[in-house]
Amino acid sequence: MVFEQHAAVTDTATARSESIGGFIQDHIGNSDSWHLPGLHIHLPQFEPVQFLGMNIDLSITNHVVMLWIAALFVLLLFGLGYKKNRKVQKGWGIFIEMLVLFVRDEIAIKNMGEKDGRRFTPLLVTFFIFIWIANMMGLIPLFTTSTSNINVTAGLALVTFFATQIYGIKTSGPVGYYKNLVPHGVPIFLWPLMFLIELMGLIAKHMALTVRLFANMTAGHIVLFALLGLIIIFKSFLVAPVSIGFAVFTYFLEILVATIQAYIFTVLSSLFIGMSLNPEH
Amino acid sequence: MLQLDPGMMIWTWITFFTVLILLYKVALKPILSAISDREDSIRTDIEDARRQRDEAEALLEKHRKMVAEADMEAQKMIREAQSLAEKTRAEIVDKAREEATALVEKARVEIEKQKDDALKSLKAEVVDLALGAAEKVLVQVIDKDMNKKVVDNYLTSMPKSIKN
Repeated sequence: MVFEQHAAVTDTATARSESIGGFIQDHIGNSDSWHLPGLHIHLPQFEPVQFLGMNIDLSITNHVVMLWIAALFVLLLFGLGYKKNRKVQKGWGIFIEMLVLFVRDEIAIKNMGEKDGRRFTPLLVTFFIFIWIANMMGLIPLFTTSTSNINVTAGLALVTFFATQIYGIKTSGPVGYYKNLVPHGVPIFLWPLMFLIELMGLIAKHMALTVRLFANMTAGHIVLFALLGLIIIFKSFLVAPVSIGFAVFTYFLEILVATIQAYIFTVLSSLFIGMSLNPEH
Repeated sequence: MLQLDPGMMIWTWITFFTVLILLYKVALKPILSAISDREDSIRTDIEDARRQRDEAEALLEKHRKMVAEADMEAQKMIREAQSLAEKTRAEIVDKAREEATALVEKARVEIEKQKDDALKSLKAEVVDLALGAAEKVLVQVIDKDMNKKVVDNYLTSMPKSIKN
């Protein structure tokens, strides 16, 4: 009888995908459908468009839906939680105000200075809350983490990248901005080399921003599924308490990581934008 | 897992910028302006309170000085009044004493005069009485004119000191 149950569990897993690896891939990867209990939603797919030699596939995938849900949640939280006509907030309003004040004082103004900090606070608050909610959604059953898709994190990091470039060029002019990439006092014969290195560094910084968020969000989910997969690999229920214990621990760790990564992304974005605005710092 | 998917990136941008713009319009703009308004009002309140405290302190100092001045003034007035009273008292006492002395003097003069008069009239009375008595005694012996001459002679021969 025990064997039969084992077989049943293994069969369900096998039915979903060939192996544990495929199962994990299936769960953290993007897909064209959204599995809800008793409901299998096929999302609309479009033909890829050729543009500048790239295959642009604007199909609505699972992660796009998750991004929309995160966006909707953020907007509802801020729209309904904050009462504009109330001078002293209550409930969610206090939390929202605290969050905005924290981002403004502890992240924006600290890293960018008084004037620029105030200017970029809306962008940074949006970064923080949007990434945080998107990260947290992966921890709720039936939802997936859109930030464990490298294209999403790359899209967000590119927002920071374009912000640094556009506002850097706006303040120092195109020549001044790229000249300021190289620190002052570099010998003239080393200047071209340094310029190349700094240019690579500029790209690497934003690549790191992309990969940091993506890898952190992906890794946690891989660990979670791998721990649960151990039950199937060992074909024994005795592994279950250990696996589930570690999985629960990882789950709480994931809550921490989701918050910390949203914070780190916001802080680094503010640092990069601040550096491009004040190159001499 | 790592393949590039520009479509996903574009969806990310669309979603992110929609959130950014809507969030800014719906919530962040009012929240940030409310926060900075509140900070401004707190700052001005603190400045007002500080200024008012300074003013109050200055006023208190002024009032304290005024009270001290008034106190000094009062002390001075009391002292002046006291000295004035002292002077007036001395004057009154002096005047009273003078008047008393004058009265005593006058009384003594009066008494002296009365005594003189009394003595004078007493002397005349004594002369008359003596004469009367002597007349009664000597009326049968000698006549009146002879006797009078004898007595007058006696009286004038008396030492001056007994006269008064």
